[in-house]
Amino acid sequence: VSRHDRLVLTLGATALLVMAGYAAHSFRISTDISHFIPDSDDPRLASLSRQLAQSSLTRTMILSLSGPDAHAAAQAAQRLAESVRSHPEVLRAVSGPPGDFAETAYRLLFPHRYQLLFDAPEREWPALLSDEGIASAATELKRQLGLPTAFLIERVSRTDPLLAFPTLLRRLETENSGGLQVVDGQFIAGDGAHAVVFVETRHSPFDGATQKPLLGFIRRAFDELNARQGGRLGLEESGLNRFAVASEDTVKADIKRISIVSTLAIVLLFLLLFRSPRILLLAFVPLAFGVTAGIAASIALFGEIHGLTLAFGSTLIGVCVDYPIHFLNHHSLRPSPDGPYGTRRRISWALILGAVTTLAGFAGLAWTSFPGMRELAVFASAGIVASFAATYWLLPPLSLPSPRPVALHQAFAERMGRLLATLGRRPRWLIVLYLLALVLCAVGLRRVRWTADLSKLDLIDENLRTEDERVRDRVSRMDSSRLIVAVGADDDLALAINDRVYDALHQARNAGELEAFSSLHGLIASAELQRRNVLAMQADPQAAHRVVAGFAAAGFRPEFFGDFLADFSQPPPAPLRIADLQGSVLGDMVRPFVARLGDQIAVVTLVKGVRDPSALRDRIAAISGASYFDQSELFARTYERYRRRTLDLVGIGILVMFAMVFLKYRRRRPTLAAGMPPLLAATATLAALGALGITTNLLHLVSLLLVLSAGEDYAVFLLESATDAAYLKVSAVSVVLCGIATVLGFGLLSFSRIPALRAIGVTTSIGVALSLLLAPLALLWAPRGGAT
Amino acid sequence: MRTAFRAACLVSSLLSARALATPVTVDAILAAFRGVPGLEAHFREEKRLAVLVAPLISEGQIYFAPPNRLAKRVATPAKSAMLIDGNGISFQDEHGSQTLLIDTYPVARLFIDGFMQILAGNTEALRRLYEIALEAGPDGAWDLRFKPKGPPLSDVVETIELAGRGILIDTLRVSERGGDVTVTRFSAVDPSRRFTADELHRLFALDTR
Repeated sequence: VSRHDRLVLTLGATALLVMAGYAAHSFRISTDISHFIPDSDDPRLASLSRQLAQSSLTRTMILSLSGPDAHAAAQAAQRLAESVRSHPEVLRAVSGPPGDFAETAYRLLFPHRYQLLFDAPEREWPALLSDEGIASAATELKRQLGLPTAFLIERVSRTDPLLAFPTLLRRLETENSGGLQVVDGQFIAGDGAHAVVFVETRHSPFDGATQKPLLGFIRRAFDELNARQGGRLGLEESGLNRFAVASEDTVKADIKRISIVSTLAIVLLFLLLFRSPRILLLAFVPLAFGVTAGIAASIALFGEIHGLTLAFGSTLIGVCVDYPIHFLNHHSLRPSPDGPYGTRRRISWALILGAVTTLAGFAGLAWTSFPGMRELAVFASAGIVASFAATYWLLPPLSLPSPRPVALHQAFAERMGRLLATLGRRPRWLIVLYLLALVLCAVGLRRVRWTADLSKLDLIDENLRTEDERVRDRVSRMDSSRLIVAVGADDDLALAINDRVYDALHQARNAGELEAFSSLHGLIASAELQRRNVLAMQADPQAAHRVVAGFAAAGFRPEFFGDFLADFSQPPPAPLRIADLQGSVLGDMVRPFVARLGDQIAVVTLVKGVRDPSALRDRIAAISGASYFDQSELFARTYERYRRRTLDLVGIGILVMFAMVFLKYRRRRPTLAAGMPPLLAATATLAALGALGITTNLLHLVSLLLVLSAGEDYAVFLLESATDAAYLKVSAVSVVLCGIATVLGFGLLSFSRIPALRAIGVTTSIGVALSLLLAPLALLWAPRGGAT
Repeated sequence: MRTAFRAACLVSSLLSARALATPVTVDAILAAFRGVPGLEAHFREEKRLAVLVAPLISEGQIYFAPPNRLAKRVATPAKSAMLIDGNGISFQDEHGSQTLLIDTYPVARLFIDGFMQILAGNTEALRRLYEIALEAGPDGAWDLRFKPKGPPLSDVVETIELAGRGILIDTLRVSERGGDVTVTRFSAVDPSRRFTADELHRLFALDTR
């Protein structure tokens, strides 16, 4: 080993150690789905989407307990909440309203009843305080006093004969219809059978280190409780942390499985063909560099590594191993008389071209507005550069000058040589292959179906998702992905916009544009509207006396309304504010509706059964500061935009690939020979997905970049050796070995439980297999005098 | 909620009417509530509210199906239906229906619990909530009086009185702290009413038709 070699090896080893040390020290895996929320064309909505994804809403789990009856479930919920509350990760665990809920709510809201009563006070107060209005109110009070539910109003009938407070309560109840009931002091779902516990965590749901122990603790607490109840209880859960932890577990398991099986397969393949532990070890050097550099670069740039990136990155084993395979295969079967450096020289153009075009494809992803995809681009680019560099600079000094080829390896090369010679003699077979690929494209491409459904992209397990939906349906019957958002510089400005939103939604509901909505307006209006109510109410100084007289005429004893007279004439209290509610027992009712967006406040309204989205959107668009936010629609629109952009990038990648090949050969025919097989393989892969009825998404498209780069590698190697039969058969062995290694790596992803990983696995497995099959087409277009 | 309790007491009193063949005691009355197959009666309720000059009067039918279902169906002045079961109270009239979150009202909870204890003939539990006094009159007349022992029930209810003669109960009177009094009179009592499955489904459901 020369001094130069020693220096290179020392530098290489140091670089690997530094990267590995950094990656091990700073390694943090994330499964945050907001990572895959793209930047929207409306940054405010995208920001809201991210804010919501990181708000207390996402830190709140819902535990749904069933039992022999609602009472048993309620008791179990109370005990489970007590157990769960003791866990340090739990900020709050609530299984029922506070004991003094009704009384506190009464004390808080009753003084504000007149301020909160009407949405159009200038019209509604005069109507109520007219002679007809008063007579009607008296009739209504008498009717209600005769009902079995009279106890609800008896307390307030003397101080509030106009029934302003019961009206507020009824509005609040209507707004939250279908939600929770209270049995034995515990929350019971709308179905009347399931008790509910809300658990808010201290940390992000995507923080696996804190969430996994908590989930285990909850399950153990329930199991103990259930055992004491004779196994008659049931528990279903909803929470983003469950998806995050399950995804992390699945991703880790997938990575482990892929890594082990891929590694074993490569070990077996190498041992079978090379029979040399030294060569086997050498093959893993670029792999170690590739994966370590990918992880280190991602962590350095993004602070953590997403599970999807890691899973995708682990399959880079299949790509990174290509470079050592090419080098070691050529050096074993046809070593250069100049030793390893000579072998490297002979294949260097093919290696460089393959690496550069692969890099071009992935680097393009870095220009997207998709944080997750940018991370993926960085991981792949760093991995490819590092494994190529390790192959190029470290393998030659570590290889023997002239290794002895193994008989089986040679026999395989001879067989490949004969096959290619046959194809060379009978190009008809290649034409048939070409035509078959075209037929596949013609048939399959028409059947390709794209989806922008987020669920097809994320890491969510289907069983967890259905359980989550069941639990959420029991608690809230509003659509989870559709919101109206009123954004203001402070609470009151946001509430003022929300007042108008409420009015618009009320009209929309009457017009049949939506079925229902749930608004904070049922609980609180803007200070401005509250002031307008007071002004309208006190416009006639004699109004209170006219009310009492009107009630007396309807059969009430006027002497009972002294408190009402005093109350009606007093100066009103200061307007009720969001902060007053947040610090009270009503805080839980406010929390789902209020979110902080940087230095602004968003008041959210939930809707259900939107029948005419465009009409609703138009109504909301007319309100300055309000937005109709359809998360699914936003994602679909943005993903569609992103899909088109990715398709453009794939196109640019193809052009770059052709340009680089052309720069190398400077002739049309070899450019075509190197570029057409991967292009055809990628197109045929898309067609195969269509023909197989697989609905394609963004990740299928991204995976096509891998297919293109792999196919281009294969074609270039065959092309480079087309004029030399001895060289060609060695290159053919390289190509087949690379193909097998890649399919082994990616093929395993096809069995992942995670749809996103399955998409990558299926596309690349089919694509690489087709690339391998179609690579000999390079020989069909290869110039007779050779590529160079 | 007081209405619910009035209805509960009403059932209790009607049940007791069937079985008072022995000397009248509190235990005898409460014991009579056990083992009853069902009950139906006509009622006329008069609510004398302090805030109103004239009483509010309603009439209709009342049904009880052991162990814990009670339906009060008002025919006049306007149709309405009220159901009580172990979980709470549901109500429906021409203006709509309403299910009360019974646990949000502690007094209501006590009423319902008291109702369940009366149906169970649980003298001990009732004595924990009320002071119970029995006053016998001439010719077999008697008056059973329940007085709440403490708050929150005593904040609302002054006394509950069941009045009857021999084995027949004809009046329930609930006096409240604010001066409101509700008097209910019963007639056409059938203390051996057995409900068919169809009747159980029809009568103990929220439907005012």
